[in-house]
Parts: sequence; C-alpha cells; structure tokens
Amino acid sequence: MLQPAYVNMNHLAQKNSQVGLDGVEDSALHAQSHQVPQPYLQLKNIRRQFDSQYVLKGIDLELKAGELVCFLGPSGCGKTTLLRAIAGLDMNYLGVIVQNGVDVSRVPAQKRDFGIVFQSYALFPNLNAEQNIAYGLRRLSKISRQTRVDELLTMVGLSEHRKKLPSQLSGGQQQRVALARALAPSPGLLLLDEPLSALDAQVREHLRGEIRRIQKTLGITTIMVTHDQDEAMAMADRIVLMNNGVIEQCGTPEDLYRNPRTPFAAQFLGLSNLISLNDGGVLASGHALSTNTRSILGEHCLLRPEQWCVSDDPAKGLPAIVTTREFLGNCIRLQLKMENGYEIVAEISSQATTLIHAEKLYVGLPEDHLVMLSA
Amino acid sequence: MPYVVDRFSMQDRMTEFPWARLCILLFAVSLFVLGMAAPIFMLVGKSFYTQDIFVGLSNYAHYFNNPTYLTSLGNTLWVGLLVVLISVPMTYIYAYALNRSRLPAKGLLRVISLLPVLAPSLMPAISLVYLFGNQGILNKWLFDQSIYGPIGVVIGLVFWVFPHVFMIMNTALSSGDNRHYDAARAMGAGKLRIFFTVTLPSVKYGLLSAAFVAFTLAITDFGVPKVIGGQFNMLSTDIFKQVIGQQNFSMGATLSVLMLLPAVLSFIMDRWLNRRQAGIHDHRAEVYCIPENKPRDILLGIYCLSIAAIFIGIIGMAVYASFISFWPYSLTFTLEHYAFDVMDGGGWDAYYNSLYLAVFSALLGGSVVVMVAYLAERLPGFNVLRGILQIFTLMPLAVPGMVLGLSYIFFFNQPNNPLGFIYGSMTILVLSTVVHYYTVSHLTLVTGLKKIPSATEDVSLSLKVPLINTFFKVVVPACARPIGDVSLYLFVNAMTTVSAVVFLYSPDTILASISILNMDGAGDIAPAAAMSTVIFSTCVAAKLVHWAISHYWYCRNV
Repeated sequence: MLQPAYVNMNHLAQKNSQVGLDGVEDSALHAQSHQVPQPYLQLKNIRRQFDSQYVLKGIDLELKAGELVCFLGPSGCGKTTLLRAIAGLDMNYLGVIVQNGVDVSRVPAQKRDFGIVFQSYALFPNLNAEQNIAYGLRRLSKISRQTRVDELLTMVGLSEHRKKLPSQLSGGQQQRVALARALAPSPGLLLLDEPLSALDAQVREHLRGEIRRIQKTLGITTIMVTHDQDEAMAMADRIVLMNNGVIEQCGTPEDLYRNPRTPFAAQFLGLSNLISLNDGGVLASGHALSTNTRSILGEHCLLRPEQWCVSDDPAKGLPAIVTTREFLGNCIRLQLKMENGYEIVAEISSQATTLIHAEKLYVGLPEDHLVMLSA
Repeated sequence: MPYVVDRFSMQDRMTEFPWARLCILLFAVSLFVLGMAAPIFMLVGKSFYTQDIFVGLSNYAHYFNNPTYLTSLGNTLWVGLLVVLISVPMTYIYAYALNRSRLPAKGLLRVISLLPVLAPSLMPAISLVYLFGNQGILNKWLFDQSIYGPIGVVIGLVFWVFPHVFMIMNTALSSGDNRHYDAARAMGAGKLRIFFTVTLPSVKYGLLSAAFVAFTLAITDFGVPKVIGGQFNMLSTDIFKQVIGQQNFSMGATLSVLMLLPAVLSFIMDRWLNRRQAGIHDHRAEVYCIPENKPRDILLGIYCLSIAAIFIGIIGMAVYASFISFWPYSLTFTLEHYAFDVMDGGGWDAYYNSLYLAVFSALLGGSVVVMVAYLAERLPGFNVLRGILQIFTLMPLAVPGMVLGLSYIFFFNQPNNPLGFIYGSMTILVLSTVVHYYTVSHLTLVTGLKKIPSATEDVSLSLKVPLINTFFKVVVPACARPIGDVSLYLFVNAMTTVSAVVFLYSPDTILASISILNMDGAGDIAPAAAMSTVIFSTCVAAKLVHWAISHYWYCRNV
C-alpha cells in the first residue's frame, strides 16, 4: 500500500536534482554521466585541529552511491567532527572532500547537497510537524510543497500527527519528523548524527529498521554516526571504525566481527577474549589448547565467547571454574577461571541443559576460529 | 558534542551576512561604551577634580572629614542592613508559604506580593505619609515617633524591595528536591535536622543573593528617602542635594563613586553566588511533595493574609487619598487632583512623556536586547566583540540609577561632545532607561534562547534557508514569552523610575514620576498620590495586556 508513494518520490527526487538547488549539482550531473563507477563521496587526508591537538589525523575514505556507512567509535574519537566537516558545518578542516565528482572542500554548508538529522532532533519548537517538514521547501510552489509534505508524512507514518507541535510528539515521532525534514529537499547525501541515542531501547530498535527501509527505498547515500556497535552492525553496509582521530578499520559488519585487525577493533565490536601470546597464556598451559601452537603468529589471538568448545567432558579441554553466570535468554554468558588464573568469557546455548548449572567445565579451542592480531 | 570555538573559526564560520552582523555587534558595543563605560569613566574622573583643577583625593578627604556626610553615610548603611534583616526573613516566610504549604489562592497571594513592582517607589512613601503622617489615620500607632525619618524610610523600602527579594526566594524554594527530603526522613532525621541539613543548604545561595539585592536596592533608592526622609539624610538624597541644590558636581561625583563601590561589590558577590547556585541545580530533581499539616497552613495563612492586607492597604491608601478633596478635613470624592494641567509639575504632558518613554524603551530596547542576545549567544565568529559584549551586558546591574544619570550629565553635557545634542531630549531618557535595565532583560532572553534546540542554525543551513529567515520564523516566535517579559519589564521600569532620569529630564521631557517628586516637594501631596495612581494603573493595564497575550499564546501552543 505504501509502495506507490515511494516510486512517486524517487521520481520527484530526480526531478528536483535536475532543476538543481545550485550550480554545483548541475555540473556534478555532467561529471557523473561520463564515468559510471565513480565513488559518490571521497575524503582525502582530512585533518582537524582543536587548540593544537589533532582530533582528525588524516582521514581517507570513499563512499559508493547508495550505501549506508556507519562511523563507529567511542566518544571523542572524531566521528562527529568528521561528519560536521562533510556537511560543511565546520569549515576549519584541512584536506579535500569530493562529492559527486565536485570538489566541495571550500563550499559552505548552505551550498552543499546534504540533509542532516541530529541526536537532539532539533525540531523548531514553534512549528508543527508539517511546517517543520516544509521548512526547506520554500522554493517550491504551494501545491507541490503540500504534495511533497504529504508524501513524506506517509513515508514516516505520521499523517495523523501532521498538525502537532514537537512538544506533543513522542521522542520517536520527533525523530521521524526530523528525518522527513532532512529528506524533504531530496538531498544526495543523508547525514545522521547519533539519531537514535536519545530514544528508548524499543523505539530505537524499531526506528533502526525504519530508517534502513527508507534509506534503501530511496537509495540515498547515507552516513550515520553512532557509538552503539549493535546499531552499526544491524544497519550498516559498511562500518568505519574510528579511534583517536584515525580510521581503525573499515569493512562490512561481518568482516569487522570475524576479522578484526587490531585489539581495539576486536574489543569494540562484540565481546571478545583477547589472549596475549607473549606471556604464554592459556595456550602454553594446556594440551587441548596447544596442539598446534607453532602455526600461531602475531601477539594476540582473538576468540569470540560463542566460539569456545565448552563441555563437561574432561577429555575435551582444560578445566575451568564458573565464577559468574548471566542468563540472557537465548544464551548463557559464563565467566570462567582457568587453572592458571586466566579469566575468559564464554557463551553457551541456553538449550545445553547439562552445562547450565555445572560448577566446573572443560574448555577447548577450535583452531579454525582463531584470529591473529598483530598490534 | 559541544561546538568548540577556536582561533580559526572567525574567518570560516562567518557564513551569512558578516557585515550586517559586524555592524549590529559594533552598534551594541558602542551603545555600551557611550551609554555606560565612557560616562562612568568621566564621573570617576570628575571626583578627582574641583572646578576643573586636579585635586587628587581631596574631595574624598573632604567628605570623610565632614560629620554631616559621615552621618548620612552611616544612615545609608544601617538602613540598608535593617532593610535586609527585615525583608529577607519576611520574604522567606512568604515564599515558604507559597511553595511549601497547602494554602489556597497561592496565585492571588503571589500577584499581590508583586504589586510594588508596578508602582514607583514614591508611592509607598506617599501612602505612609497619609497613614502615619502628622494627620495620618494611624498616627497614634507610632507612639509619638515621626514617620518622617528612618522609620518611614525603612517601612517604605521594605515594601518596595519585597517583590525583588521575593522572586529570588521563590526560585530558591521552588527548586527543593523531594528526593533529599525522602532520604533524610528515611534515615530518621527530625524536622529541625531536616531544616538545617536539607532546606537551608538548598536555599543558602538564594538567601545570600536576596540579601545582596535588598541591600543594593535599599542603599541606592532615591524616591523613598526623598519623600519621607525629612531631615534624615542618606547617600542618594545627598547626591541630589549636591547636584541639584548646590550645583556642586565634583562632590556629587565623589558621592556617586562612594555609592558605586558597595553596589559593585554586592553585584560581584551576587554573580559569584549565582554561579554557585547554577552548579547545584540538578535536572533530575523531583518536585517537593508537601505533607499535610493543618496548624502550619493556618499560621502561614494568617501571615500571608496580613502581608497581603498591608500591601493592599499601602497601595489602596494612595489611590484612595487621590480621590479625597482635602485630607483629613473634607472627605468628599473629587477628581480635582487629577487636573494636573492646572498644577506645577508638568501636567498631563508629563504622563504622556512617560508613556512615550515606556513604549519606546519597550519596543526599541526590546529589539536591541533580542538582536544582541541572539548574536552574542548563538552565532559564532567575532569572538573578541562578543566577549566584550558579554561583559558589558552584565555591568549595568552594578550601576545605581543615580550614578548613571549623573554620569550622563558629565559625558553628554560636555561642550565638545558631538553627541551633546541628545542632552535634554527624549533620546537620552530612552538610552539611560534601556542601559539601566539592560542586564535583567539580557539574562531573561539568554535563558529563553537556551531553550531553542542548539542545532537550529545548523538545520537551517542544511535546508538552505538563510539564517535571517530562521531568526524571524523560528527564533523570535519561540522566544515570544521572554520577549514579552522583557518588553513588560522595560515598560514598567520606564514608567516608574526616578533615579537615573531625575538628572536628565528637561522642561519638555519631564516625566510622570518626576512630577510626583516635584508636586510632593511643593506640598501638593494629593496630586502626587493621583499621579502615582495613574502610573500604577498604567502598569497594571500593561501587565494585564501582557498576561492576556501570553495566555492566548499558551493556549494556542499547548
């Protein structure tokens, strides 16, 4: 039932960008018609300084058209700063930004082609939902403005709430209005700055899917800043993991989870057991874990909690004492203490009834799951 | 993530209308330089001169060797302290009753306590003359003491500072955090212990701040001691006498500096306390839950009713007296005291001048305050200018009206000042009023602006809507309430103020509040009461219009 609206909207979006909000876009269109596989957005050596301290230390990145990329990292890693540079809301960076084939590095925010949604929604408190969405459409005629607002209200599912003020809407509804407002002028690039962090867990999960659905339908290139790894994993085509002003690793969620390249990446995405190889550790202390130690290189090896082979059979691993046990529904998370003092985290299926209440378990290591980290 | 301003931001973030913004900021800075800094600087300088000859500190030496001056300085200080000692506990109990008891009609009690703001400080003084003067109806209550002197001054000042102190107290008491009371009760603390460990610490900054405000207002007020002080001299009446009576401007400047010092000191203390107060505010605080307690409510009820009765009595007395033909001999109703045109003191023109001044201060002042607050608080760039402005906007609160008025004489009446032409015009009255009441207006708007989402300007840029559109479509409507409050505040103060304008009016620009002073001085006390009543009614009407508009606004938006 909702489908026709989107088709209609895509059509309108194209028409809009052909009319062009400014000269940049027109020339961009020409540039694109020659080479097809060009990246939509290129960042080259972006640096940003606050009081003699670099918060961005040379970021290089390319975004394909239509993909959703998450900037993920702890607070203070520079991800919001990078987003503001891409938007042009902060112009004090060094480096080059090429959007749609055009160098926009020195183009101010109001001449760049993007829409942005903030964590705080930033809806205009005196304007109702409809007026907020229509705010960036002042160049359109009254009729096409109304049509466009109707489409967007349908898309975010707020048609009945169109006359309500922000203060009368729930957090989730406010964020939908903010999203519709950002999408209204049909920007080529959508920027989401922690859009879900201010919301309740359940609303957050629902809106997560909603944003992803809309993004895919419109095929709009999107950057989302977040510090929530689950959110990034659930939504992103690619994750850009940032730490201390540099890109730590960049790849699909699965790639980052399975093949983290640094201890930071391993620990930031999902729970992990990092085992240092320098001090011998677990591997040297037991026969079950050390059958093939010579093939292990690097300084750390990584194991996800669900990858341990946990059993009650003494032949299948090293003995470990269960110190804490958390019931998480689908699985049970165990803190285990090995005989040599090593503490590890393991997860077992809550179906494994024989293991659930055991005080002592035996832990084995599947070698094909080991990931070596060099740093 | 908070936006961090750094030294590169000037050039790069001046995204829109940099010249217009620069012009407005420069205009605002020059407003403060010409309307405050330069005049005050000249005034301080003048206190080191006698007849254009530099005499160093000899004016001060002269002052401190003169027993008459010292007496009035002493008077000022002890009256100030007495006003603090009376008004602070008085307002504390009143605010306590309105916040921590289950009294009915709290709204009405609140409105009554704020009535003195709408009257010039001359009005309570005139009422006291009628109530306790030589022919007053309650004359016997004073046991042969004269109301013309410290007693009248203290009563009048307590009445007049009450609403200002009450508002601070009310804020302090309304922010009580129920969680602390629950925790204290859960640990078995008694009533007294709860008072000393929970209530008092939470209001201590409010109490101190209230004390400083009461002291400053009391030592700088001119209306009350002028009307009811009689032979009892204070610093403010001394300044008036030096300047208007003896034309001794150097001594006037010296006295002004002596008035400026405690006011500045008190201002600095108050700012410091405000910062401490802001630090202890916790947005998770729960609203205080008022336990049931009948005896408490009855006692506080009696107290509040008495205060309210006294307030209505004081204001009512002046209103009533203005309609009486010849107090106390002929009590027939008359309107003859309102025939200001047949009396000395400016006539109805004085009232129209006041109205003109009030409307202009509210509209012009209001717009300047909105623009400056917006540019200074919300838009980046021009950091040096904005920094200077932020200091300037706070300073007027520290300058007593009389000091400001006198400093304008020195600055604008100089023969070689190109701006001298505004001396004696309405412009100088508007300028002095707006500058004098700038700080509170500015802070009100800054608070209002903080409630607008911080990313508003970024959203506007991202949607390609010029900031100026967003300013008029979003910022101004979203700040309608504080803008209305500021306009009312400027209007009311322009109607009632005496202190700054008493040195600045000319025969053409005489104001209603000044004409009260003149009529009272000439012995026409009934017309003075009548003019007070006219000012008071005008302010009440303005307040009602303000209330109606904001009520309508509130209904439409919620």
